[in-house]
Formats: sequence, structure tokens, C-alpha cells
Amino acid sequence: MAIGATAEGDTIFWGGIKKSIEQRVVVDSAQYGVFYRFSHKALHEGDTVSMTDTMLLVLGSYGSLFLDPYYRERVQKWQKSSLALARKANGAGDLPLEEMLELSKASDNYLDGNHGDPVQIYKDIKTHSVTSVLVYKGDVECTQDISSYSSWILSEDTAMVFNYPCLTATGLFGGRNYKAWFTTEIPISDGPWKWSGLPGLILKVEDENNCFCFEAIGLEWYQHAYILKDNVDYESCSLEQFNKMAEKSRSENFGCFMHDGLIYWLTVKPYKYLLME
Amino acid sequence: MRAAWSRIRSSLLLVTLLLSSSILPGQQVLTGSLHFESDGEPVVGATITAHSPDEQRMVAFTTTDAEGTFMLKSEAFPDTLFLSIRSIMTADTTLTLPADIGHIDLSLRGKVVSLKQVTIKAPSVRQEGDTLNYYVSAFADSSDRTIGDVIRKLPGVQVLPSGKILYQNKEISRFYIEGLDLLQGKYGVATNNLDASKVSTIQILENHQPIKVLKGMEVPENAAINLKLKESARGAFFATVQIGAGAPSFLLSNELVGMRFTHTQQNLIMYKGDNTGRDIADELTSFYNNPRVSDLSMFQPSSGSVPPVNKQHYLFNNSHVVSVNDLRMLRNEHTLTSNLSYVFDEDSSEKYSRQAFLVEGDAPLVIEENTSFRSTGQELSGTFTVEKNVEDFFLCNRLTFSAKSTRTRQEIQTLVPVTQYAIPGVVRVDDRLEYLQKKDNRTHRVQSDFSFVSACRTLSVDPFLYESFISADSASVRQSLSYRQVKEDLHYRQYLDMGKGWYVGYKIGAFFSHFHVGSEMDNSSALSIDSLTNSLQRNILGINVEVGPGYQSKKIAMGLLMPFDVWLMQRRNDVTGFKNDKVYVLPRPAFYGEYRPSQRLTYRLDISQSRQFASIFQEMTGYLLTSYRNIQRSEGALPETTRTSAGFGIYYKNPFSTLFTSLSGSYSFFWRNVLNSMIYNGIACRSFAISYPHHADKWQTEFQVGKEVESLHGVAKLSCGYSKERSLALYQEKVSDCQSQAFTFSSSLNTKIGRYAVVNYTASYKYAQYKVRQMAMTPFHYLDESLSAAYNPVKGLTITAVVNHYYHSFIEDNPSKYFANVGVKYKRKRMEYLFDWTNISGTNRFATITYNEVSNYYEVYHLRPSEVLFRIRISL
Repeated sequence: MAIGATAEGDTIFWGGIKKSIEQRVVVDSAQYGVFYRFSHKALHEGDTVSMTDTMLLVLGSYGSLFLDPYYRERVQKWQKSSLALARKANGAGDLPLEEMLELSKASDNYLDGNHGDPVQIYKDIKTHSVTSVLVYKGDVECTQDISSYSSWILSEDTAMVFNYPCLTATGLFGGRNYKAWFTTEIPISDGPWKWSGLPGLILKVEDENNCFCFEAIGLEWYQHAYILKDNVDYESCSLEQFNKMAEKSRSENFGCFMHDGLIYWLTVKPYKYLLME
Repeated sequence: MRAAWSRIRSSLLLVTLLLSSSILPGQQVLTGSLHFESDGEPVVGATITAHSPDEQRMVAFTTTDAEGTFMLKSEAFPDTLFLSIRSIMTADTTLTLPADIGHIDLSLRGKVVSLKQVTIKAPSVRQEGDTLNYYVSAFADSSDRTIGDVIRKLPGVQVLPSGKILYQNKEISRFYIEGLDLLQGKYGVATNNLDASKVSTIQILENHQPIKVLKGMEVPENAAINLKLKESARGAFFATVQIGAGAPSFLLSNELVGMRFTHTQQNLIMYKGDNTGRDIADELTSFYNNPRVSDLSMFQPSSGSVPPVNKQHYLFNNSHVVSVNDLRMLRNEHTLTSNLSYVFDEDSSEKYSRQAFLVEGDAPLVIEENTSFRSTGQELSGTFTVEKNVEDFFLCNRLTFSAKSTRTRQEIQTLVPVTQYAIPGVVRVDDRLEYLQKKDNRTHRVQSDFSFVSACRTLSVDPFLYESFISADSASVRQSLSYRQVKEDLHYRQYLDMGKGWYVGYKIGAFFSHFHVGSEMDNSSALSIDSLTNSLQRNILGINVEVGPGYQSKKIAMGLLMPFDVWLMQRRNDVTGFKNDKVYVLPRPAFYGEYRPSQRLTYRLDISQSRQFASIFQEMTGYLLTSYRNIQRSEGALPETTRTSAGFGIYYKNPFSTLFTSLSGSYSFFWRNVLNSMIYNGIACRSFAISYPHHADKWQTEFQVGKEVESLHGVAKLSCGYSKERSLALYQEKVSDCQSQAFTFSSSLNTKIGRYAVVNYTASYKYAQYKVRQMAMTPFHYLDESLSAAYNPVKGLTITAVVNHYYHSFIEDNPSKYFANVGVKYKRKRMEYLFDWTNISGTNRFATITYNEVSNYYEVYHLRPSEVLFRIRISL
């Protein structure tokens, strides 16, 4: 099975973070998957540190989905550990409240609370839109016009990326200057994150300050695969509100366990991630 | 019909597009629609690029929308356009058309473009800032039982034969389990007993600063390891019981290990009993930097050198080990860690040796010996640590004690049969108190180190070979040696944060050391020339001052340390009446610089100079018996060494490609005032230190690389090193200029073959050569290879086979030796059945030759016979 995907028999599914297939809805068939190494910067105790994650662009017939393929798995592991902890805490019976709260912090340390990137980005050719979704204290989405992320200026440079001959283009997005390497050998006008609009697949993008870099590292094709979305009513919000929430979801851990009622805890994760826009 | 409707629909949409799109005045526009030839369905997402007629310059590009329509815009198209239409679902189409055509409709032939798959697997290493996460599941295989088996495979990580772990060729500074340091350096207990299946991630914490107050102020060079357990293992008590028996002699291998790890309490209890050659006492070695003590090797039982083969082949042991470790979080973020261990060890060995001394112009002296060695020892040791480690405050008190007693008996068949008894014993108590407090931009640090050592040894030799020392009717002698050391070192250090990454560290301290060594003969009336008696005392009262500015930024870390000590040293020799009081000023300047141009690459430079005095043992003017044919004394000069050294290192890591590599080198220059001399009279050797200022130097370089190789489904490691030394040796009153050089190469490859087998190959090769007075001695080549394979025919069953090959070019009759071991392991639920057959070929002798400047040493060791061992291990 493809890494990070859910499956039923030979059919694999990408997208959404709800537990069962029934809680998700098919939005497109999936034809190809392009894995990108995502190198980016984060702040840790005031220092800038480098982080490396693997991201996936799932290409469908009428659009695509860009996500952290491990996020769902990590969240489920975390949920399991929270449950186990809750059981332990309940098993502990008459532990004082303070000690139980200490236990809860211990759980956060265990996983470092770093589940990866929670945002899933859907591009839709039909509606000419790019929609970012996030499940954090509710289900929110932010829809933008795809053209906001497809204004590129071709440049003269060429290079081999991922064993494909690439042309280059530059663009200004979210206040940062980016350079993209795309190949006309793969005639799909798509790319990592929200980018698209070039006459070929974008295999590499990096900003001039080396804060963010996506580079293709894997490509696979699917026979029975679908792009899913959680079957929920998303609350629409502005880009500013969405980014604020996405930042919070990556910097805070939110959990709860039962003990004589409901006890919540909130911890701050050790890493603060830079926003792309 | 369907195709016609589609065209009408796209035309309508095109009009809409033209009306709605922002076409600037003067812009040229080309619109169009694309459909599949077969069914008229729109071609969605096709890319259209317009080129100049020479096909070189792309003048415009766009993609088709959900209806298959597109619009190309340009300030100025060339008169003729070269149009390229490509889609993942259609054959490539190219057209040449006039730029003012305005609109085109095209039907394209369907063709699925196949793209070459490049599959990736879940990354086995993940980097989060200074933390590298190695996922255990990516590196473990069926042949791995403990977490130590997995750690030794990790690229960038090296495990020495002693069990010490290195990362990027530097030893680790801390070993944590779930962020807590339960074992206080004795991490062999964890690596050899913690089940690999309980651990989810092995974390390397680079430049780890264990004291939170000092974070960002002192950047240690060394990394730490943290084991993150699986959720199922956290908080759970898990234990294993092993019962084992074997033949031909009555072999036993039993153990009981229990452990539990949480974030607030951790426990590890272990008992092991073994007489199969497995050195279970090695697990209790502490690899942390312990407080400095004088060389106590005289009080350690030793049978001499050991063969360079798997210990299990030559160790005749009967050992019992108990280790109790407990860590608990107390109130107010304090941690109490208690470690207690007890070792009972009986060892024996037999060997033949022939030592030949080669000096130009002299007839070689040859000493042949058949030695039988027996020792029985016990050691009780413990460490109690109380620690509070928070952002602005650190308090740690570590109390360590140990008591060790051993009895050894050596029977030597040489020109005359000799029996030697030694009863060494050592008691040590150490206490380190550290206190740090951060207030505003200042950090205050107070540290106290107290150490008490009391050691004694009785050495009896029968008969005594130094005829000139004793009266004619005396056959045996017994010499008692005692040693006492009391040290206290108290210092205060302050760090001042100057801002913008600069800081200054000041240190001022005082210390006191008292050493006493004494030796006497129990039957002194037997002595005719020398009393073989010593009574020396050395007291040092001193202060040390240190000023050290430093700088740290994201890319650069550097520090200049300028410490110097002022010593008032009192030396007393009660036998000769010698008294000396002298003040010494000992500067120890050091500089380190580290440059990190990226997260992957680090350059490091270290330069230092130090001046040290030898231990009080080197000042003994009365002869000290060190073995039945070795006595030593000094002229009484205080031996000192000044060492100047510089080292560099280049370290590269790429967690994503799992490539880890390092290149390091160093040069050291030594100045010494004393030279050790040996004079042989028959086989009896007298060695003594004489005043002879001289210098020596040493070059050393090492390269290492490790990488996970996907095509081999395993990890490959390679290292090579070169060293060159120049020094002087004094033998039979002749000073010889000596040079040595050695080249080492080692590699290992661990590979999974399908789902059923794992193969591991390691090899190490050494080439060494000595030159004495420009006369080159024949170089030797040494090769040590090991090939092991594990095969899993069915779930739970593992069959392992190991073949070891040793080659030494100097062993003329049989330079190669082979050893083969096989094992079968069957695991079913909580039960594990293990069968081992070691040394299948029954090789019972192993020969080695070693060199030094003036002699070569040929030894033949007696080995354990072919043995079988059956063990049952139960997980509770």
C-alpha cells in the first residue's frame, strides 16, 4: 500500500482525516502521486532550525490534493496514545489532579506533538479554485482563486531535476520570491502547495531566502485510487484567519481525558513554524 | 451529436471567457478548445505552449480548463506560431499556424502517457532541528534482539568493542531513556537488555547541552542518545527470565531482567550468571567522563594481553552480576537516581609466550613462558544522584562509591617455575556537587569535586629472581603497596551574556590534593641491597583562574579558554629524606571553533596546550615489584609532559539520504623530561626513569562514511585511518629513535535478502610498521573478518551462522584461523528457545604477534573448546 494512504482491498484513498471511509466523500479519482521533500525552517527556543518533511501531491482528473501523507497516521497514533493515557489515568484512580496533569504533559513529550502539516490543499480545475482545509477545534476551509498561485514569469535557466529536463520560472507569492523548476515532459499543470499554472509539472520550488524548498523525490501511478475530503460542513474563513488557526494547530497540543468529569490540557509545542504566506 | 454539442458548449464558454478575461489593449489572443477524437469529451488540464518559429523561445503558455478550452495571451506574437499541445491523456500534438488565426478547435487522439515510477519508502531518519530520529522499524531485523543490536547498524553511529557509542566519530555524552538518565553512563545495561521491539525511535540529540541553564552558552561537541519507547512499552513492567545449560563442561547462562520506564519513575533490575565466556561484567562499565584519578592500573588484576578474537572464545569465566537502578521524580522537579551493582568474577587463562628483544649490535634476548592465571574478584559499587535541571537553575549532587577486592594466582613455567600471588583492593568515594543559577544576563556556577581513594596490593613471588637483591637462602619475597589519595576541588564560574551571541566565562577556584604511596617488604631481612621500600607524599595546594570569551550564532560557535593553575607542590620522600616545595604556574590555553554553513555540514577546529605531571608512582626511588620479572624505580625526578595539539574535523550528515560522513585529523607534540629505561639481566628486567628531556609527536587522521543503501536493503559503513608516531626509547642504556606508522581500514555491510534472510559482513584490516634507528622492521598485515547470516524459514524461527576469519602475516605456520558458530532461535508468544553451538571446529589455540619499539611478542592462547548451550528465555 502507498505510504500514508488508507485502503479497502485494492482501492486506496487519499485525503481527509476522519477515521472511517464513510465519514469521507470522493471528490476525484487519483491518477498519480508525486512525493516532494519539503525542507523548511522553524524556530526552536529562539533559534532557526531546519526541518525536513515528505509531502505528497495526488493528481486527479479535475484537480489535485496536496498533503502531508503521514499526518493522518501520526494523529491516529497520538489519539491512541491519548486514549491509553486516559485509561492509565483512570486506572490510577485517586491520583491527585496535579499529577494527572503532569501525566498529560508527559504524553505530549512522548510524541513531541509534531504530527506534521495538518493542512490539506485541494485544487479544482472546474471551479478554478484552491481550497485549504484544516480540522482544528472545528472544520474550516479557505477558498482562493487558483490564479493567485499561477502567475509565473519564465526565465532562461534550465536544469535536470528528478532526472527530468526542467525549465524555470519565477513568481512572487505571499511576499516571497520563488523560483520553480518545471518539466514539459510531464504535461500536468500542477505543483506542490498551491502552485500551478506552468506548462508542465513543477518538480522543485524554492524561495530566494532558502526558507522553503520543495523537491520531487518520488512518483507513483495509481489504478484504483481516489481523492477524498471529509464529509463535513466546513466553515469558510479568510486566509488570515485560516493561517492563524493553522499556526495554532501546529504550535499547540490540545487533548483531554476523563477523570471525575472532563479535564482539558493545552501545551505549547517546542517548534514554531514559519508561514508561507 | 455529442461531439457537436460539446463544440457549441465550448464556443459559448469561449465567448464568456473572452468577455470575462482581462485582455489588455494591444494584447494578442489565441483561443481554442481541445476534445478527444474518440468521444468528443473535453481534454482537461492539457498544456499549450506557443513558441517562436525556431521552437526555441516560449512566448506564451496556458492550460485547458474543465471544458477543454484555453486562451493564450501575449504582448506580441511572432507572425507564425509553433504550438505544442501536451496532455497526460493524449498524444503530443504540434502545429504551426499564423498568429492572427484567433481561434482553433482540435480533436486529439487519446493516448495515456506512461511515467516511470519512482517509489519511495517511509524515511528511516527524520531531522527536527538538532534532533535526528532513527525509526527502529526501518533498521531492525529478525536477528536483532536488543536495542544495542539496532544502534550498531545506524548510519553515523559506531559502537566500539567496549560497548562505547560514538556518533560522527565522537563519543556520546549522555544516554537517556524517555529523556531521563537512569543508568548514569552504564548504558551497556540498556543496550544489552532492552528489547528492540519496545523502542519506537532512537534519537540523536546533536550538540547536546545536558544543563538547561547553559543552553546557548556552552555548545558541547558531543551528542546524546535518547530512546523513545513505543506507547505499549511506556509505563509497562516487562521482564525476561533466562535459564541456560550447556556442555561439555557444566555451562550455565542465567538471567533475570526487569524494567519499567515512565516519565516520572524508571527502574531496571538485572541479575546475570554466566560461565560460557560471555563477559557480563562489561555491561556495568560507565562511559561518562568520570572524575580524574591517578592511574590505578597497579591495583587491577591482569593476566596480560588478550587475543584479538571474540571474547567468548578465550574467556574462562564464572561471573555473577547484580544491577539495581532506580530513578524517581521528587517534588519540585528534583530527580533522585540510585544505581547499585555487585560483581563476582572468577577468571582463568593459560598461554605460552615468547618475547624477543631486538637491539642493533646486541644478541637478541628471548624469554619463553608458560603462564597459568587464576583470579577471583568482587566489586560493590553505587551512585546516588540528586538533580534539579530547569531553565534558570541547576543543582546536582552525585555520590559514587566502589569497593573492589581481587585475588590472583599466576604460575609461570620459565627457566625456573615461579608462582606469583597478588591481592589488590581499591576503595573509592567521589562526590560532585554542581550548582548553577541564572539571573538576568549572568549565570553563576559553583562546583565541588571531592575524591577519596585508598588502595593496597600485596604481591608475593616465589622464588624471587633478582638474586643480587636478596640473601642466598631466601627464596620468596612479598611486597605490600599502599596508596591513598584525597582531593578537593572547589571553583566558582560566572558566565556573562554580552549580547549578540557573545559571552564571557570567568572561573576562579582552589584545590587541594594529598597523595601518599608506600611499599615495604614483609621479610625485609632477606634483602641485601635495596630495601624495596618507599614512602612518598605529595601535597598540592593550588588556585586556578580562567577567563574565556566565547561567541555563538546560528552558524558559528567559538571559544577561547585561557586557564592557568598556580600550584604549590610539596614532595616528600621519607626513605631518602628528600623534601621539595616548589611553585608551578601551569597555563592550559585552548581554542575551539565550529562553523556550520548549513544544517548538514560542520567544520571544527581545536587547539590546546597543557602541562601535566606524572603520578606519584613514577617518583618511587625504591624498587617496586610489578611482576615476578619486573621491578621499577625512578631517579626521583618529577616526570612532566607538555602536550600541544591541534585537531580538525569535517562532519557531514544528510538524514534524508542517510549519508553520514566525517573526516578528522590531529597533530600532537609532546615534550617530556624523563625517559623510561629497561635493563635486562637474564629474564629479570629493571626499569627506571631517568632525566632525559626529549620530544615526540603523533599524526592521526580518520575518515568515516555510513549510508543506508536501498538497493541492498541495508546499511553500509566504511572507515579508514592513518597514524604516525615518532618517539625515543631507551633499552640496555642505548637511546633509539623510533618511528611507527599504521594504516587501518574497516567496513561493514548489513543487508536484508528478501523477507527471510539477513547477512552482515564486517572486516577490519591493519598495516603497521616500526622503524628503530632508521632500520625498518618487517611490516605486518592483520585482517579480521566476520560473516554472519540469519535465516527465517518460518515465522518465529531464526537460524544464524557466523564465521570469523583472522589473518596475521607474521604467523608463519598458519596465518589464518577460522571460527564458526551456529545458533537456532525459536520464538513463540512469550517463550524463546535458543540453541548455540560455538567454535564448531574446536580450534583450541590462537597465536598473535605484537610489536613495540624494542621487542616482539609471540603469544599462543588456550581457547575454549567446542561448546553447546541451550537457553530458554521467557518474557513476563
